[in-house]
Amino acid sequence: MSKVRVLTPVVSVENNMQNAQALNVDRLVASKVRIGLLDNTKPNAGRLLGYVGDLLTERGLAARTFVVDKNDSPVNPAGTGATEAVLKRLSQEADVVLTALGN
Amino acid sequence: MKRGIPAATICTTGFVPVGRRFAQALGVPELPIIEVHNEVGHDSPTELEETARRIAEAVPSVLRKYQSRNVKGQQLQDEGRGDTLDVDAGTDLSIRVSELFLQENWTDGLPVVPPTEDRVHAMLEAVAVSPDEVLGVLPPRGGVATVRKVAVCAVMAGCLPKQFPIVVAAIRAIGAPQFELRTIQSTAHPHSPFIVVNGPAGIEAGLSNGHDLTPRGWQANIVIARAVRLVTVNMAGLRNVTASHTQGYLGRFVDCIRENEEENPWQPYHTELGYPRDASTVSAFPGEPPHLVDDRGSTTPQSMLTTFARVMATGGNRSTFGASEQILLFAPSHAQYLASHGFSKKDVRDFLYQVARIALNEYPKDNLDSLSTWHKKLFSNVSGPVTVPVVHDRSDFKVIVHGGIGPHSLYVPGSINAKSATVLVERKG
Repeated sequence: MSKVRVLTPVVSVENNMQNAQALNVDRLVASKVRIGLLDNTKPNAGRLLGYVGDLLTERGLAARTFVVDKNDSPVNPAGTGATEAVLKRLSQEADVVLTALGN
Repeated sequence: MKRGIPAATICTTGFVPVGRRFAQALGVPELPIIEVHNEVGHDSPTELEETARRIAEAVPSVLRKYQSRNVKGQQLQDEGRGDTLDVDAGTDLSIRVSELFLQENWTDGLPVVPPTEDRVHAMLEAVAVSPDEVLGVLPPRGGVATVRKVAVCAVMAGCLPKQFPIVVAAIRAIGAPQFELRTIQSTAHPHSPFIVVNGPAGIEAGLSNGHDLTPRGWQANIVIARAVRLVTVNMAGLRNVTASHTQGYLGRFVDCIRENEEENPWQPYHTELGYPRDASTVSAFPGEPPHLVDDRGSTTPQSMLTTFARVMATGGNRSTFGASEQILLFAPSHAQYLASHGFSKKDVRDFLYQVARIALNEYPKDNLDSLSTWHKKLFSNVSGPVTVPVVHDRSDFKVIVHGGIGPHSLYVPGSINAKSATVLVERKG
């Protein structure tokens, strides 16, 4: 049977790793790490992260924990990325970051 | 992670597949996900503490995963399928192509018109832009939407070549940064692009302004909307996760209308934005499915607009929690009544800003967390008879005239994150 050629909607995707930095895991060899907790401001997310931070400190896993949120976003922050200022603080002050949380 | 800092995300079970797809799309497929089994928004402090314990127990394994240097970034790979497929010819070609495309998750579930080379070529001939021009890189997937690939989707949707300039403009609009397509494609909140066309290009494309009684009259509206939907499925959507709305496909279909400029007593929408009256534009609004505003008895403009206000201002309306746009599609009879009683569009907005408000005490106190940052700043620490406006700025009431006979207007709630975008239709010749 003869063939008909059809075009597909398959597209190429943008290279979104262009500006990615190499992972710095050397910081994690310390016995205690600094843990940044990024609250997306959904209901209870910040409270939950606060409890997580307390537990990690209590159990000796974290030297320090701190919660930051995306409240400096001009719109509803849960659905948008953290601002540059928030990302900069996390980069400078955290060895590992936990983010939370969906509904 | 892309800042070089090890990271993990905490995710409820239902959102884990979306989270994984997102991580892939963002180039961090190995991002550790700590799964929790319930939605925490309703939890008591005791329940939250229990969930926190489970999360804390998972943290050492996250650290070990990074310490073993097993986590790497990786660009999202292109799909295995190429740009063309050779399919057996014959009378049931449409059925075979539809089944094949459905299997690949390239459709919206309905049968498609096979995008043969001739059909796609005819579509491309209808626009003044190059087939390789990139109309947008559509998030969250980051698919590169070239004119050629958009033409494939337009053929699949059933578009005629004369309708393609509208599709091209619509894709430029949904790719605009303020439209926040990333959110629309990934949120559980059921909303999708709502397309409004102004100017002569809409008439040339055969778009109905709401008056047509026959299916033929709606052909252009339906297929243009469907083309936009197919572009979002194939270029913006996360592979195999194209409907993360709480209710699945509901609210996922795109609408496309032409403003009824012929019976609009006010200036058309696009002229408010500074475009000449004879320009053709496409405006994309992030919108929920339309809600009815039924008013057949008001005897003053204030009374009629109070009906609109009461439809909008309800405590469970997600789009009133933040700085959303509220799209109002006035039936010609409603618009003409208001205009004939001296109400301009500005008067409509001013009145609605004062009246479309929710009494703060109607929000349950424990649900105030749902309010936007903006709302929280203004209202979290107040009490008494305070009312909350449903928009941040009165210009966020978008006044458009659409439809035919009858006392039925429509209200399209906007998105809490996204704003509309308007672009010119580029016509050939």
